Amino acid sequence: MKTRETRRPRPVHPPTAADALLRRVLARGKRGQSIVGDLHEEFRAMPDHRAARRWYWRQALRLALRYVSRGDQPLRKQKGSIMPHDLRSDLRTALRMFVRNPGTSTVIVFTLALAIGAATVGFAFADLALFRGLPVDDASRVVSVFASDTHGSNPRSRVSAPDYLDYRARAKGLERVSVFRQASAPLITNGQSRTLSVSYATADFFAAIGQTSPALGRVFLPGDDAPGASPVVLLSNRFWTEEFASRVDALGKTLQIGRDVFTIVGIVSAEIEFGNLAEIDLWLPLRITPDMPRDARTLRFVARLRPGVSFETAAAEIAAIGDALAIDHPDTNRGWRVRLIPIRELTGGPGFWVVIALFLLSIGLLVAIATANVSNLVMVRAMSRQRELAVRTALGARRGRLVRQLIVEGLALSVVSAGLSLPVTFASLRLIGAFSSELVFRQLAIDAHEFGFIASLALICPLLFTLAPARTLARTDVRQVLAAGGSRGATTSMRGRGALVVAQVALAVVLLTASSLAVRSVVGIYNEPTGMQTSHGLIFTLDFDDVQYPDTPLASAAARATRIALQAMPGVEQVAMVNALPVLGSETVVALNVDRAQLPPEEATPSVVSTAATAEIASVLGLTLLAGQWWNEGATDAAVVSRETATRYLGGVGRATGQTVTLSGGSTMRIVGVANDVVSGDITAWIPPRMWTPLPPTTRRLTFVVKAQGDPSELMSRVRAIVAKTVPAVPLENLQTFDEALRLAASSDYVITGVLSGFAILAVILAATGLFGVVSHAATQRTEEFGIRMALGASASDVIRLVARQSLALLVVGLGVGLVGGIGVGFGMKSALFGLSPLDPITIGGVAVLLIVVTLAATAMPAWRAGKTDPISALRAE
Amino acid sequence: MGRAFLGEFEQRVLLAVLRCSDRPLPLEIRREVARQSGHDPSRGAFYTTLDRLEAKGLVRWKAESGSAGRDGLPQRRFHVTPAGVRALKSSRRALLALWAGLDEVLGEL
Repeated sequence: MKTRETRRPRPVHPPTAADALLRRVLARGKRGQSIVGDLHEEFRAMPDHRAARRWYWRQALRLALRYVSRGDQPLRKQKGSIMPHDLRSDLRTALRMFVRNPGTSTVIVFTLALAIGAATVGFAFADLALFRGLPVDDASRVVSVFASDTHGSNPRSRVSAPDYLDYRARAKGLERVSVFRQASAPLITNGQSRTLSVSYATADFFAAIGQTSPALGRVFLPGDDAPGASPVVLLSNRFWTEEFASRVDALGKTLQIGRDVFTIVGIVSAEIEFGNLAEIDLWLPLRITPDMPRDARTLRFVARLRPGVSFETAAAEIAAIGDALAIDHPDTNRGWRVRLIPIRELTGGPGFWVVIALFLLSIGLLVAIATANVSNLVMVRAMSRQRELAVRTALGARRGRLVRQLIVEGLALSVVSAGLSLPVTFASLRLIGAFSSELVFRQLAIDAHEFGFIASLALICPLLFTLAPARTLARTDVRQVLAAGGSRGATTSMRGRGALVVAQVALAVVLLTASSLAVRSVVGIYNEPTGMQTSHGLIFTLDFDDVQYPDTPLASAAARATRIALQAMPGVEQVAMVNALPVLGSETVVALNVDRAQLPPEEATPSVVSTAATAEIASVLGLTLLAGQWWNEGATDAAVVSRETATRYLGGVGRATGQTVTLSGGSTMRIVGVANDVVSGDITAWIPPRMWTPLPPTTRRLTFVVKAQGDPSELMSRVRAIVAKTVPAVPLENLQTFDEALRLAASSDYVITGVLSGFAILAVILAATGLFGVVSHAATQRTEEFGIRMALGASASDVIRLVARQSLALLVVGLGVGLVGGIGVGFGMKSALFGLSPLDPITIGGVAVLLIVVTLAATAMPAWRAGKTDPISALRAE
Repeated sequence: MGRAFLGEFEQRVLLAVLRCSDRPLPLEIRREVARQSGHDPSRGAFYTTLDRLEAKGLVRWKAESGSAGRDGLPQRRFHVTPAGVRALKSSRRALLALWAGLDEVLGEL
């Protein structure tokens, strides 16, 4: 047993954190040290170390509490203390109130923490859109253009290359006129190809948005986009971090993109990674030549107002140039309106601003409801202290001092709540990230803006929620309170609290109505038929790039071989290939030359969404033929148009078949059939005119749609295996079921409405607790009255009716005011409501029913308790 | 200086300091208080009372360096000042005056 003999007892120390606490609260110098020393000595004398540690913590906490709450004689030196003595004594009182009344304090702190946390989540959204915003320097000087035909059916704001050159040459009010477009490109490393997200931009692009200082190296220089310039590439900050571990020697290295080799000359600043731009891996120079087709509107336009030029001047100039181009090039530009817009308007569609406004509204209402709730609780507490406060007033305390005491108490509570709101915020953001993989939600961040927001809420809230109690206190008649025990003060306060609850219910109803409208609208949109049967579809994308397949026929043969191999798989009904899927892919818009006699005179040049696919697409997507027939495999000049195209441009479904149209590239197509309409990517905006054309064999990036006989997800692993066996060098991208892909595409809308509904639910819960608090408090105060009534012969149900009547009165007023407000907000968000009226009876009815149920639930307990009042004991208490 | 008024716990602590041997440590004083009163006073109340007695000028202390068992932290040795002794005496007098003549009444209880 040698080991036991040589083992020395482990040195045992009292808990360091407890010591630190003691050092903070005890006097500095030998007095404090000797007390700690005494505790150490006692600690060492205890046989059980674990018990000793627990004991030590207990003693430290008790001593700390004792010394902190002791007011008679400050032990710490006054010198160096930044707080005036009054404030410290207020804080001590606040601490004592917390300790004395932990229940109410905890409810207050949690209410505020939830509300501040939720409001901060809302603020993070608004912050991202409003303040963090575009990665643009001096955004008010940066502009874009919005071009639309007479149907408004040009997706967002795109211009063609020749139009861009004309604007650049003619617009005197603009400088740094530039264009860019997003695409994907294959990066080749060690013979393996991988698809990257790239952006092609003209040399002036970075100067236009004011991002001329890169993280490393340089941005594009004039001439980088000229024909024959040496090929250069910029890396996005994220790509540089992920692929090059942020190493400086990445500069000067080369990347093989497709068949070309580019030299890395710069790393773009991380600031630019906002919205869609955050997905970009590489920036490549965009070469523009005048011979590009004028009706291929694919480029996004950015420019800067020249110094001294107002937005209005530049806007008038651009509109004039647009009109001139329509006269110069009637074939391509007739009917197109071009207007200058501030870059901010590009951030989102009109729905976007409605959403931001709703978020801001929710923040305001939530904070207001929570504040009203807390105000109620503080009022109850102040009333229960009314006697004490009256005595203090009688003894000479000034009322201002009492009110300040109340505010300091509120401030202490709200600072604690602000601290607790941080985990609430973080957890909510994490939850949002788990629901949607959209990049924009990962950009929601808690930083200086959000901390500032939380801090200002923590300061403003106590001022608001102590306002009503402070007013009531300041008006209190001291003599009456001291003489009568506070009953008069209680009735006036009851009236104030009733008003607060009505306001709470009204605000919650506003929020609930607005968010229900938003939810019903979003659900309605995604339940609209897409025009396709997607439930058996499995989709994925293969890029037969020109490095793996230098010869186009080889690429086309490989694609065909893959299709045939998949087709032979058991469980597969049909396989089609398409250049871009409706809704999910980035679809191309082409101009269409038709017999103009069929069009109204003011009609712009027709344009359609063109989807190139193999002939199986009709059966794979379950499209319905309305007239004519589908083209056969191998046809090159036949096309099927959608109903919208036929009615808009070709004189109707019956007359479309047999007509011939010319596409912008010059190819001629014979219309052989008319199919049903299929929605586009912007599912809310419009049903686009569409044309289905045979897949040209030159298409290298193909989306495969596999129609399964049963559950498509069961085919996944076999599809993977077959692709790996047939075309091993081609990476399989985004293999998923069609429905899953649609759900993911919709997830961001669901997240946003989900967050809004979360706000509304929280608002209702807060309002319900407020209602419960007021009703039950009122019922308790009337115990004596109930006792008398019952002694005089009132039944329990009479008393229950009395209590219920009060809460129903509060409900009716709150619900009425709230519904009026909610419908008002509904009209404000009308542009974002699809197929839904702000007066939607289901929404309004649902909100009313929910509120009635919640009110009944909040009333049930106090009413039941009042009904059980024992008249004898109620009267004896008096 | 106005007449120092002594609370009951203050009296107990002062008496305990006097009952202990020469210049006792706080641990000894507290033990003495516990032995005489039959219950263990809380440390918070005890130390704040010592502070208060000191502020009233009824006790004084001197610090000396501590042993290893206290991790070298200093320890204080207390003694009662003449003012402390006077305060105890006047308390005692006042109480005795109040007790006087009540033997009969109290004896019945």
